[in-house]
Amino acid sequence: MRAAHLLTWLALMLGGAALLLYGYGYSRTTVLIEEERTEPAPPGPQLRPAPGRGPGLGGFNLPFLSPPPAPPRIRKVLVAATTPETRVVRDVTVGGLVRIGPGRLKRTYIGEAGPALCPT
Amino acid sequence: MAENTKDSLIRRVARRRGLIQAAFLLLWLDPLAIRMHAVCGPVFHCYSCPLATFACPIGVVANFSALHLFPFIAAGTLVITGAVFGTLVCGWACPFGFLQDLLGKMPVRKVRLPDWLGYGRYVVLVAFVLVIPCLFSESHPLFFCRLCPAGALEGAVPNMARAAAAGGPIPWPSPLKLTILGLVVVAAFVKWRPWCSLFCPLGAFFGLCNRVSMVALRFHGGRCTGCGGCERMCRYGVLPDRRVNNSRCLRCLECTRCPSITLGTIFDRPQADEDGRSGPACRPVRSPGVGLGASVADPQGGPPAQRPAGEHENATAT
Repeated sequence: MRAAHLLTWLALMLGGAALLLYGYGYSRTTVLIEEERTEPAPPGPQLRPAPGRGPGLGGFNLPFLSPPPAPPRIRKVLVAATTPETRVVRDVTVGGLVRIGPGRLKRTYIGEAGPALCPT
Repeated sequence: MAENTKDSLIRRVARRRGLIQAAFLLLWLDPLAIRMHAVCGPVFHCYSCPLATFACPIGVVANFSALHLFPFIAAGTLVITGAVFGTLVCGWACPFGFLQDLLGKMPVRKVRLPDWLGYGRYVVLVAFVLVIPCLFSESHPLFFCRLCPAGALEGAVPNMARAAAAGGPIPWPSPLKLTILGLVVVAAFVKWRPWCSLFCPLGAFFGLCNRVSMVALRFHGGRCTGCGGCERMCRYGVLPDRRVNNSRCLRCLECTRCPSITLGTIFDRPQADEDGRSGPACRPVRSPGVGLGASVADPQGGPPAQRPAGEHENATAT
């Protein structure tokens, strides 16, 4: 009876240690992370000097005569990132992950710092 | 002799349980402001608390269930803690249990509820922590964290107060969550640890580990006089002389004031007067005709007489 008790306890300890070791060391989850990417603006229409004219007032290449440069475009893209379980644990404490489909998890915030509060 | 010294030390420590609970509370309240939320703590302490050091294991399990992931870190933490301490963590380290203990000290007559209500803890663990999150995701109104009274007390209320003090918009929790907190607080006046003994999913898991944990209560039938003192001392109606290491025991160690119940480990050599199964043999009032010739020990701690060999073998284990 005592031997069975000791064996059960030993099995629990070994199982728990294995779970912790795997969780901290090896467990990885693929998470879709939304990132903002800045793209350079496409070049605007250029004023070209009239044929046969050199640079100067007649050449239309003065900066104040050029159209203002377009602002850079910010595009949101989803990037699949392999995330350690420690990060997943930290993220769920602030409601930072949602399941959007079978096997697909998405981070709910952009950037490194998550929300300050859990949504519940 | 060494055994007696150890037992008396445990009894002395048990009398100061409140101080030890307060010391653990300081540990959970992030005194060094390190917020290790990637690590699961072994107690029921909401990670939404502005001062939480660790992540709540039950909250992590519920969220992982909603994400359809297996929580290796939380499961490992729970299994190791349960295998070493069992519900000793509940009795001595849990901050929400400490709060209920403090409320329970109010001089109000306490009620005892039927034993079967303790199974509510397993219902909460299976339904609200595992099944509902897995089937309906974390946005369901019955997701465990949306009901948790510890979360309401330690996370929602402080964050509401902080937002109100800063003059910002107040993040109101669900009314159901606040109602459950209110009910638990009121119930704590009339029942010892109502949340722990009726609903706590973490206590349910640790309770299952009680029978196999390294730290264990031991019943010495040879020292029992059948006075029923341990039953009166137990606040949770566990009947320590019959069901030592029962899953409903919170290991507050109040019963170790009786010399027939001691705290030990599974590595301790069994003593001659020890009977792990215990039984009605030492309770002549409840089982007349069995064990009336049992040992009579001095309740003040004098040397107990030995019970006749084999007497407990005939006792009905309950």
